Amino acid sequence: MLKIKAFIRFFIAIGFGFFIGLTCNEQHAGAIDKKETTASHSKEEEPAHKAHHQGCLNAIETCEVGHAETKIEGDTLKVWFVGGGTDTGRSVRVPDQIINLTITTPDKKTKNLILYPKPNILAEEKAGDCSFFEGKAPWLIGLQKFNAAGKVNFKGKERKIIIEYPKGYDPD
Amino acid sequence: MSLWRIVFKSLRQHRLSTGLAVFSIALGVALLISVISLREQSHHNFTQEGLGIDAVLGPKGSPLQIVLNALYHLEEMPGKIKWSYYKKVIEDPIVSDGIPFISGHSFAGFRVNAIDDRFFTDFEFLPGKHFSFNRNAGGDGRSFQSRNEAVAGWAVAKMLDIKLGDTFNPVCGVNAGDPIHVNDTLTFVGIMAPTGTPHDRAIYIPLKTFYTLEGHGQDVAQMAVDEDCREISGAYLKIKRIRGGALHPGIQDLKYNISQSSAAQLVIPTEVLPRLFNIIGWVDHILLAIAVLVTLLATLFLFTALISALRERRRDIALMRSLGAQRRTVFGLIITESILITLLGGILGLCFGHGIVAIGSYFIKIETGLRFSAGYLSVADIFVIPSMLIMGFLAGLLPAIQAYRLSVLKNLTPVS
Repeated sequence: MLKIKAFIRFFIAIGFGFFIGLTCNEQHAGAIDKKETTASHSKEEEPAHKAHHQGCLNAIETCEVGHAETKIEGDTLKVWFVGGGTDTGRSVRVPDQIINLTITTPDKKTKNLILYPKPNILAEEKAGDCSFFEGKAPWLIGLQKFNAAGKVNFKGKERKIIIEYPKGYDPD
Repeated sequence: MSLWRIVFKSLRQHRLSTGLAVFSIALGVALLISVISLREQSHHNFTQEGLGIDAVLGPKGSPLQIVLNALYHLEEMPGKIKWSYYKKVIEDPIVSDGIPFISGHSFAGFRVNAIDDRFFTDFEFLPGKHFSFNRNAGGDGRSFQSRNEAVAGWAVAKMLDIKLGDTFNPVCGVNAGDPIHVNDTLTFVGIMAPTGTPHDRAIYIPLKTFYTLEGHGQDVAQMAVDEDCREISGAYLKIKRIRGGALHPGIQDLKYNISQSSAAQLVIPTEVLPRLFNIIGWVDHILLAIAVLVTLLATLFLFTALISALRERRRDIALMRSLGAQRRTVFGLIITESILITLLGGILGLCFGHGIVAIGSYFIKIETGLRFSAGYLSVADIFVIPSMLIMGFLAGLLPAIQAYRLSVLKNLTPVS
């Protein structure tokens, strides 16, 4: 009888193992589906504080006003002006012809960088009505962290830009 | 007499209940196999392959609607885009090619799309695969070369029995009752070889033919010659690849740039289609639950059949015990019977399930153009036999324990 009980217990354990394996595979597939869906979902419909260019978002005055998404690629600093709050996927055009940034590097040195407009032709932007700016300098290569300050005419008013790269600036 | 012989004799003696148990288990398993197989293949067809299209340039509106229209010839495009804007987009450094199209017409329930003739030579309906008119592959004829010519997809030709030289008049719209272009007769000059994609279910006419169809008005007719005022429904875009064949990472920037315009949007099918499954995902969960329930009910039926069979065989089992059979032998007999029935049901169910998928895939191919395979091995195929063994053991456990505990003396008492 003891042997039979041990046999039964063994078989039940195997059974649970298979059942869990089958269920987990379905759940895992579901999780993967959900992850894929969530990833694609977030790209399209979860713009809340989502940096659409994989840069860092820096609030302009407050998060609700707008953001300056910032990214360094090689020797180029790229800045996209985008909406505030949940609207970080929508560009905001500024009339500035150039933007002056004062950049403070980790070794406490300050450098100036001029950003020039790079109009999005597909959105019929032009200089003076542009949401994307770029500035090049050799000392940007390999720069992992910096703070920057500047000014921009954003949504009809002259506002301060504060950039804290790479963590982003959010005063709220 | 060996244990197996006793088991088979017992099963033969109760062939009706054995047969019913095997059949009901097979039914449940077949449902499970077919639901899971079709679900997995649907997911693969709709999401992973992307049907060879990297991106669709379309008007502002629902991205899902654009993908359903451009890839699956369903729904309608939510608007039009300017030809000049399309030209601007294909000049982007990461776009390697674009094929413009206009949708919105139909014939006998099938969509008629006006498209650039490079569709038949440059378009990849699946990665690396181009359309063909090769007779050996099931096609015929050639692509269109003049205004009044048309090409039929393989499924369209099969369902409408279209031959080369047949003519038709396109319908201006996709709904029943829409007006017919009675004065515009087009001739089929080509039938595409089957591709196993929804493109088999459409008819294709030259892009400029659309503008000159009678009844569209002078403004639309002008679009045939004047690119400045020309409009299209959308365009299939081919994006450049980087090392390893991955899509150029600049596609997200391109998508962002286009979305900032009021003119159009860029839709990436592999990003949009998983959302479709999110919406309808609960349907296959329910189907799966029904299939699991049927299988469990079948196992319950087996359990009750074994219990009632045991009642009838008490005396036989007591006799066996008195002749020297041990308790564990009797226990093993019942368990073996139960496992054999579920195993047989599982194997039959596997065959039935793949048969259901084979039949279903034929009709799905005709209706949607999508290819499903009866030989596809899903998760269920791997787990079904071990699961049947477990369920057979569990169904036979209580009857086996009852048989194990059977009192020889009590059950050998004379009945009369």
